[in-house]
Amino acid sequence: MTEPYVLMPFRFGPLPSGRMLLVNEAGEFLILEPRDFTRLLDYELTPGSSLFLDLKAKHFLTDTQVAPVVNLLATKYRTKKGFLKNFTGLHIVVVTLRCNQRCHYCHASSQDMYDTRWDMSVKTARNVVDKIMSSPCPSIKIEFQGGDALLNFEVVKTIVREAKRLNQKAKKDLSFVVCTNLTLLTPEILAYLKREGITISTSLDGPREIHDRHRVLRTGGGSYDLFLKNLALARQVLGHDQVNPLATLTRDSLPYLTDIIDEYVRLQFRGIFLRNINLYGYARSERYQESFRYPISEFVKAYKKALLYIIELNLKGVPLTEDFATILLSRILTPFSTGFMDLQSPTGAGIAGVVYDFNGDVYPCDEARMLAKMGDRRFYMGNVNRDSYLDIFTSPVMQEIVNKSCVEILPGCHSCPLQMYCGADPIRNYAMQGDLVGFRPTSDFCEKHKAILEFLLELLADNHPEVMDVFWAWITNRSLAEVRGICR
Amino acid sequence: MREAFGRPLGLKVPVMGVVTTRLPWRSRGKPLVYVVDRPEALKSLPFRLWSRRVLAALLTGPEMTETLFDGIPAVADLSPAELAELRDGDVVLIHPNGRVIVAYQTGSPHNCLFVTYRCNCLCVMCPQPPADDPEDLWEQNVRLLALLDPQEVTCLAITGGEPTLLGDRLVELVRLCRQQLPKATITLLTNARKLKNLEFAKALFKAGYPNLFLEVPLFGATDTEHDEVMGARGSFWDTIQALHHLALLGQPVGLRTVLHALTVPRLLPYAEFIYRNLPFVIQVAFMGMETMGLAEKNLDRLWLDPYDYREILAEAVRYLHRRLVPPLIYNHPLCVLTPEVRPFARNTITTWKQLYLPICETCGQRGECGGVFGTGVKVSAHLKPLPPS
Repeated sequence: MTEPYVLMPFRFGPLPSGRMLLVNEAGEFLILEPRDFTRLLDYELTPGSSLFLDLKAKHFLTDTQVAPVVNLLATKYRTKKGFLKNFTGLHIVVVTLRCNQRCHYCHASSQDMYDTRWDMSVKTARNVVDKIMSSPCPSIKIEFQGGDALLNFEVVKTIVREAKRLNQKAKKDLSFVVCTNLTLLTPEILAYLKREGITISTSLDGPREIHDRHRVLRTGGGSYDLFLKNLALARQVLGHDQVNPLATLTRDSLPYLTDIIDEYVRLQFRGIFLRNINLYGYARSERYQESFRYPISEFVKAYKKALLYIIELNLKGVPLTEDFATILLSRILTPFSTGFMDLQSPTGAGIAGVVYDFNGDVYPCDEARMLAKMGDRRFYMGNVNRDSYLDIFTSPVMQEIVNKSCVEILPGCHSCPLQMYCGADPIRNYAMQGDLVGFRPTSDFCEKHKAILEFLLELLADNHPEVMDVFWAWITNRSLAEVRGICR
Repeated sequence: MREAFGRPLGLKVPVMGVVTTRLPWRSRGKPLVYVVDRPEALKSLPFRLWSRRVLAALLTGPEMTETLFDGIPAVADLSPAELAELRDGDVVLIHPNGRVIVAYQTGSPHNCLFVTYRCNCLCVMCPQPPADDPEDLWEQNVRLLALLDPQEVTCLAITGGEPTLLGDRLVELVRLCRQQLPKATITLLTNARKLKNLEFAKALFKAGYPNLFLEVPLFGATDTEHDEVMGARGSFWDTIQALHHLALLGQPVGLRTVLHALTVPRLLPYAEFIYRNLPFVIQVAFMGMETMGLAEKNLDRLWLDPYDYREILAEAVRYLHRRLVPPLIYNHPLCVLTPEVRPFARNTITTWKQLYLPICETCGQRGECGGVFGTGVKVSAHLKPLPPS
């Protein structure tokens, strides 16, 4: 060996600030001045210098042993990919397509309130449970979706009862979530949810003017007032934190992001997930393009501003998390695996989560189900009434999805320094670009994640103690006071 | 008192026994060492026939009537103050030359089995450099274990030297501890190098489960830094490999580092390394240096006033606490720490080594503070009284 040290595998690229980002196979990063980066590559660093030891401690180089470093990196890589170990944990069951609302951007292709053809049958429900409980995953979450899941509540009850019965033997960590717009909630339903330990996932787009703009009842009129009334009721019965909302950000609501955040704070929600609108289902219709569609760069700009606003709120004593940043920060800052179905490599679709349509058809994710609804059954994995568990989860389409969603080998991703923090979405690639592998330079998905990850990395590089306290409060799910060590 | 000297009377071999200040009517079979602190105490001696049979020795104050000793081996002329420190249940080792060593102190959290003087490293700040073992060290420890009260002992450390050099005998000792002291947490202080042998690690884990806890020194984020402090090339990777074995087995492990000029400048990278590579450790202890032994010899190279590194220490503590890896501060008086990390400080200096300076007299937090090492040659120049907390 003529060089004074050996470089270990890592990926690199410049950040917007011009500094060089280095990330190794285990997701550890270091941000260097370009000058230092050149010296690293030219073998000009002095062994024993502070920079040299920083790089060595994070396994970007070694001047002593190589084999134990590789072993350590392998252990850490396995830990990071831990989400693959257990296979499918999230099982989304579409119990009906019927809905009492007709939201303008509905992804879920909701159907008329009284047309029971769109309900899941009890027989299909039993077969769904049978497939779910066949999963090797020790922790199973069953999420009821619609339409509005409350409109076929008998089937919800059947699935809960059957799953719990089978679980007496399977002994898995079993949990249930019901997705509902809340407007059809009754005290009887709430009592049942309470008794069975089921939580609620719902939708809130912001204050009344924003919420009611697109979330409208089929009978006409907005749903905001009914939502608020039933939210209070649900919290009273189930407990404050058992109801969690998602916001859909449309073009006409994006400029009012701080108002939306303030509304979440006002209603004392624990967190908010800022995500861009998915252009599937009705959201694709010509009529609303003006009010929905925005260039992804516009979303990123609004997101950054909103994130800084939320950090500031936290420092003022308002404990609100931003859940997307929390996931990405966990990926960047912790050595652990993070379960987030939408951003994994290989993709979480089918592996982390799966969707059972009302008729028993199985799809790797909701987007694949929408595509089928729009006439393209490209990602159909099988049907619970006809196919076995193994047939469904080892179907050719499932194998193809995995094959084409490993960022390690995807063109454009393979050398990206953000690879360890990112993931692939072959279904979206197919829907947007007509191909599972996709083309990164024109991909909204890539543009969004790259910009947000880089933004977070620059914030981390600044290493402002107050901001770091907020980030760690989010990651470790503690209050600011606890993170700072004041509360003990 | 950790040890004292008196005038030996009739001692031919070393004697180990349980201290008692009153002679019981009946004996429980363990050899007793009777503390005679006043002349009247000798009067009951002829009437306690059952406990007489297990009476191994007497420890007496000055000016006792030796004819009343009745032929029982004794160490006489110990000071009343020394005798007053002995409690029922303490275990003492008495040498024929009149040396009395307190091998176990009832109620103290600092008791340990000292199992070897040998070591496979030579740390630059070692307070007690390696040496050869006396022949009867093993037997003494086994005997000590047998004399302890299983209901009373809640913690016991196994230390050295490097205990793992005992090999299978360490496994045996740990098993013995667990069996004889079911209520005790057994803390093994080891550099863990030998535990890179998975079979050895497994045997140790099985012998000690669930009472065994390991505290392992790690001094840096790279072999360059760690091996230099340990004085042994290769020790870093041995220890890292061992730690991963132990994590795989589910063996609870804590880490410790000693703060001095070789470790302090890169304390934050050290904390970062722990979080990214060893996030399973259940605590990380930042320890003040005891300035004796090699630390005294290498003082010029090693000494940093704790007051001068208080910000760096606080940053490393904050870093780990944010990440749910519990940090602890050992061997530091509270007044040299920044206020926000004082809750992480623990009173860790062994009672007989503990020292409070005259300036500590007026301190309002003396009760919570562990003081400084009475055994060292150097203490911080910035000790000051604190207001009550």
